[in-house]
Amino acid sequence: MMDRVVKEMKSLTTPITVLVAAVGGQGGQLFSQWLFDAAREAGFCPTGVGLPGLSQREGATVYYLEFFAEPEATFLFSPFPEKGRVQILVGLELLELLRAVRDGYLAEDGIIIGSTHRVLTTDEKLPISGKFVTAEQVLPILQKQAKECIAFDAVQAAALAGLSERAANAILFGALASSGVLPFPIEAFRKAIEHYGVAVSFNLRAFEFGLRYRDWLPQLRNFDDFATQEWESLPEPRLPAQLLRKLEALSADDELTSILHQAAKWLCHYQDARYFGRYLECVEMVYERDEGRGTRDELLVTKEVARILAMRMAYEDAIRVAQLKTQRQRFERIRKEHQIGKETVYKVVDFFSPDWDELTGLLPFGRTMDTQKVTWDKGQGSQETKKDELPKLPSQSEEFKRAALQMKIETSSLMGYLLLNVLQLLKPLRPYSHRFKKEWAAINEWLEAVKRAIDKDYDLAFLVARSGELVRGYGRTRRKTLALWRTFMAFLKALEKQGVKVSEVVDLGEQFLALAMSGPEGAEKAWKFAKEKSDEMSG
Amino acid sequence: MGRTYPVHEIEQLKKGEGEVIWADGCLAILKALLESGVAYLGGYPGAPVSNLTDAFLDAEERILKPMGIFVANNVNEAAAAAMLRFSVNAPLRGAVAWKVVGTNVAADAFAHVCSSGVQGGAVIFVGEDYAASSTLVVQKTLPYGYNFGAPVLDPKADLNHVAQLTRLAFELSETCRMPVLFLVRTRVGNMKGWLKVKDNLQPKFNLHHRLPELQLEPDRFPIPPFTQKQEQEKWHQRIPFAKSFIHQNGINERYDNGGRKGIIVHGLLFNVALRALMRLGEVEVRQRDLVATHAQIANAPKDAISLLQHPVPAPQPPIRDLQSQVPDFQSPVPNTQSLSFGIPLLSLHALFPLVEDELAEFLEGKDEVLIVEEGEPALIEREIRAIAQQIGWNGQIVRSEFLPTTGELTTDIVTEGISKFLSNSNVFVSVSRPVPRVPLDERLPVVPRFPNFCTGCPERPAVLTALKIFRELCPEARFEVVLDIGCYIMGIYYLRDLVSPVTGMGTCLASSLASSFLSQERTIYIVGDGTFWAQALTTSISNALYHKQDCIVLILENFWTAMTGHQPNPSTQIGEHAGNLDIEGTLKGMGAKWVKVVNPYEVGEVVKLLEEAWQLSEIGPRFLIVRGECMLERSRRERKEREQLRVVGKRVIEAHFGVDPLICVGDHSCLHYNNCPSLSVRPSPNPLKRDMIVKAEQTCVACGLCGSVAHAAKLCPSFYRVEWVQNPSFWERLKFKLRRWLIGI
Repeated sequence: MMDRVVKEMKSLTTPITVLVAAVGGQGGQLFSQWLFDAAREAGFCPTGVGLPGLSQREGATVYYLEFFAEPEATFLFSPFPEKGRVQILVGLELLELLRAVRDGYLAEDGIIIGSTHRVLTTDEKLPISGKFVTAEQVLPILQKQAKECIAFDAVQAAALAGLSERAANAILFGALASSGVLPFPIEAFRKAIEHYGVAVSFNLRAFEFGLRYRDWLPQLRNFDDFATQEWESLPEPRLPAQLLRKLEALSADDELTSILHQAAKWLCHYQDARYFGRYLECVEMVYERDEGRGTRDELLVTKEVARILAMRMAYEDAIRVAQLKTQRQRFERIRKEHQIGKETVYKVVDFFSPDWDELTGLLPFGRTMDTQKVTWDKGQGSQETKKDELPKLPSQSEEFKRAALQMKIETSSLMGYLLLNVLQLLKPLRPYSHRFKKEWAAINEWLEAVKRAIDKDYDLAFLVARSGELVRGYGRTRRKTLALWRTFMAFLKALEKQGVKVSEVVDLGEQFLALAMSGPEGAEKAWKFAKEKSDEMSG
Repeated sequence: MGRTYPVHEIEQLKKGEGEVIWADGCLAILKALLESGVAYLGGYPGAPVSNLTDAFLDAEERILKPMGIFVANNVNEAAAAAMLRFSVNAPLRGAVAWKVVGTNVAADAFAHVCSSGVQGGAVIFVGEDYAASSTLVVQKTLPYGYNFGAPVLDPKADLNHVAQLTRLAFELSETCRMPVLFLVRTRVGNMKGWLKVKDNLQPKFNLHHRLPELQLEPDRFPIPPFTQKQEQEKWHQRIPFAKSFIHQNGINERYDNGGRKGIIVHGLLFNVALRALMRLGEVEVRQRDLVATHAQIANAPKDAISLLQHPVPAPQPPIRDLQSQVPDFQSPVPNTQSLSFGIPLLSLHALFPLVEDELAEFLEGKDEVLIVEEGEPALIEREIRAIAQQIGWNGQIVRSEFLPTTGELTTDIVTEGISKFLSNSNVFVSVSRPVPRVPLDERLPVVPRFPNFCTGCPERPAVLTALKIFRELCPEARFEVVLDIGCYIMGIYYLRDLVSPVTGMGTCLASSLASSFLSQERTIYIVGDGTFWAQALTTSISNALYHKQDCIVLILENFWTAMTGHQPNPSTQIGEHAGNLDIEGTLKGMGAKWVKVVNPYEVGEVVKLLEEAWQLSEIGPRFLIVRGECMLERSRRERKEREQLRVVGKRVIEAHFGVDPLICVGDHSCLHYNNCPSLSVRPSPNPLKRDMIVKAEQTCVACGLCGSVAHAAKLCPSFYRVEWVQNPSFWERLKFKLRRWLIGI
């Protein structure tokens, strides 16, 4: 590699060309400064231009460098990178790397060295079912574009090295140095960091780690994140034999088995094995109708119901929050995530703002509900609505004016911990609470709707099953999403009433769900869509 | 303030004759200013010359003050332009910097200085940003040169040339008695490289040795009858002097080995065209010469530098007896001697005034000339057409046939244009791989990346969070948001349908005066402290108070001119000018009836005050000062302070916010209200949840907004704040041990 570049450099007028693409705030400027200084240390004569743009604020930034063999040749510098003529493309962020490749800067025998770390754009963050550019998607493309492609998640590498995220660019700089892509001795890179004098000892540590990238790269792939560790450390459920048999009977294929096992873990932790028994009953009822339906016996509806029902049943209330906030594993995860040493003194403060509904919801109200009794038609709409009209979403301004208790609790203190733990004592009483009754009424509405739909049309049933996931969140989000789900059902009903073909109903329903999941303002958009469509149909 | 230039780069400014320094375009300019014996500096920051303001401020204590150079941090461009009047009355050199649109602000004062004419050299470094990479409107400086009769210089992307042209600019200014506009393009100001320097020159009169007497002469006063005399002098004396100076000093370079076709470029388009011609095989760089010329750099004789074949002697303009403290003009690095062009090239570096003789000579004997000129109005093209007509030239001038007339001219575009011009066809023979080897999947979402407010920014809570909550809380309240110029203008990306268009620095509230009386929508005006002092106070605020305009004014006082890189402004609380001006007192003194100050991170409080202000429509403008230091600046400083304390064993607290992954339900409401860059999303660790949950990155600076938004907008309880202590006290450690033992934290 080095030979090739050096051979090219024999021509004094042909520079080595490097493009550095980054996101503002990532240290792209520092990186290109180091690169500039390393070239000087190595006896080259660098020139370059930076387009920091709105670099302090997450804009895209680009730095272009040309390294000449002789100082007299630098007047030949081109202030613009040229398409197909950049020999080394460095990316501190995956999307920006991809952007530079898409713009066609890379030379045919060009080399890519970059971090696959993602700094998500706002538009990528907002959709609830966020789909964004990932390394799995992009790496094969980059590898095809470049003669050589060295890419890894430098931020994860920093975590592996026990350093903060700010070490990412120095780690990448180290990898660039040791890759031999540039005809500079490693000492030149090291001196560049020392020369510029920004957090020298920290950056040198990261640099030395980056130099050994070949050693730890395999480790990086297995580097697990702490949140997943927390999930995995939840206690495994202990189920009575009768439930195990039932679970066995329902385990039609691997996917369903896995969903049921995860649900067992989640629900037993949430309440108890009995509660999971109740879950299995509900799944069973759908399963019976689903078996043999669908095109390839995939039990699509059952799987979707099984997955979503587990989350709906483990609805988040104060007891649940207190339970999750005081777990031992949580403190361990926080410590690791923020790189707090084992012996370091630390504390954790939590922010709660339960409203009146959430607090009174814990009070007992009547007996536990029988799963079969509440049906869709008797469902309690969030607001009274005229017949044939879509249920309205709760008014935002009223929601804001609703009384709420604003609390900051230091969970790591004895008092805070005790306070939250006392809440957990209420867990056995949960099935007698008002909130439980309301949640189950809504769950039953949904299950009923699925069952009725499955008799009518399989695609419709799958759609209705999926819609159960709309309902989520705490307090006002919960009220809004529940109202939205009711809107969804009323919308479907209205369409059917108008005599719209089932396939078309499914199609419109899909669009509604996609809008609803498109972001925090999705509910309003979906509601508007339903309103327009049903007005169109009736008018 | 945060330094743009590290100390070792600033120290290079002390280097002398024949030494080499490594710098960026702006530092190279400052070095050349010192070599030119400049006595005073100033300007108003704005990309791409904000680095120049930074260089002035960073070098002030170490270099400039000891040399006796006065540095002003002018409150706006008009103040900077007016300051140049000193060179009218004193034989001292001065330079100021502002960005291209700043010329609009400066124009009034500048027109007057141009009419009077200077005796000490005065140079304005104008940040030319035709690509609008950090400017709101596209505008060129050249028309201003025509308008005021001020020469316009445009350097190559070559720091040696930048420095040389800077030195020449002062001589030119003194020769023709006009201030000179010096274009600093983004790719010149931000360019890095090397340059050979000269000795610094201390101004004859300076901070330590003041000028005893100003030369006050009534005929320099622009008022009839002197005005017409000055106008005559300007166009019949000063401009012709400028032309002969430009010609004599070979500012425009001609490379002509004969040929029927020629190319005319300007500024850094020289580099662009050179690269293009190299790619097309139309220029040969003789490597032997390249090395051989190295030795000649230092001692090139003066007349060797004129690259024009037959320099026409011009009459020496009568210069008033100015003490010439100028170092001898030295040759440019004669690297260009190593070039052998297959096609004649004229590289213009003085865009106004053009020297007719030079152009006439170049056109002579050619059939077709391509003008590579950036953008509209293409005054160079028009002028050359006029010259061609004057001299009765029969060839063809082409530009729009081969090159786009608007937009940035990149190397790729110019290569294509020149290739077509030379082959006289519309077929572009590709000289490089224009498309990726493997076609990229077009469905690949290479989404645009919009800028955002920084992590922990004190402006985001006011501009985004509070306004969003206020809007949802009071759906009946109808208003437009008027954003002025500053970081907060990025609100446009998030408040899209609420925002009315910007009308320029500090003028935006004034832009909605008619609307306040004729439309049902009220105005919420957002302005930062820098813009407040620069222009808004006089143009917008006084106008609003005078008319009792029904509006709510949010003044984001973050103590720095943050958008251009943290230059101090009159609200800055650090440094020698701290506390000289006060926004709250100013407003009250002007008669504002409702002025409140609020902490932006207490977003619930901000919303409450907005509601209160909304009710008070009859009292005229209501002012809410949102006071919180720019987090970027603050966290940089505090990080350093914490590190110092930690090292000496003092107690230091660090904090982050986090999101509990099993508690977050993934409705993304927090992102809706608080789009902090340190909030990102990730897949849920719970395999039953398919949606993305929110996570807080390590870049969090624990500003506290997440917590206060969770309360104000009643969000989910997944946010937590974790705080850890370095060098804790004995009792703290004991308490922690007890907690660990009891609750297992």
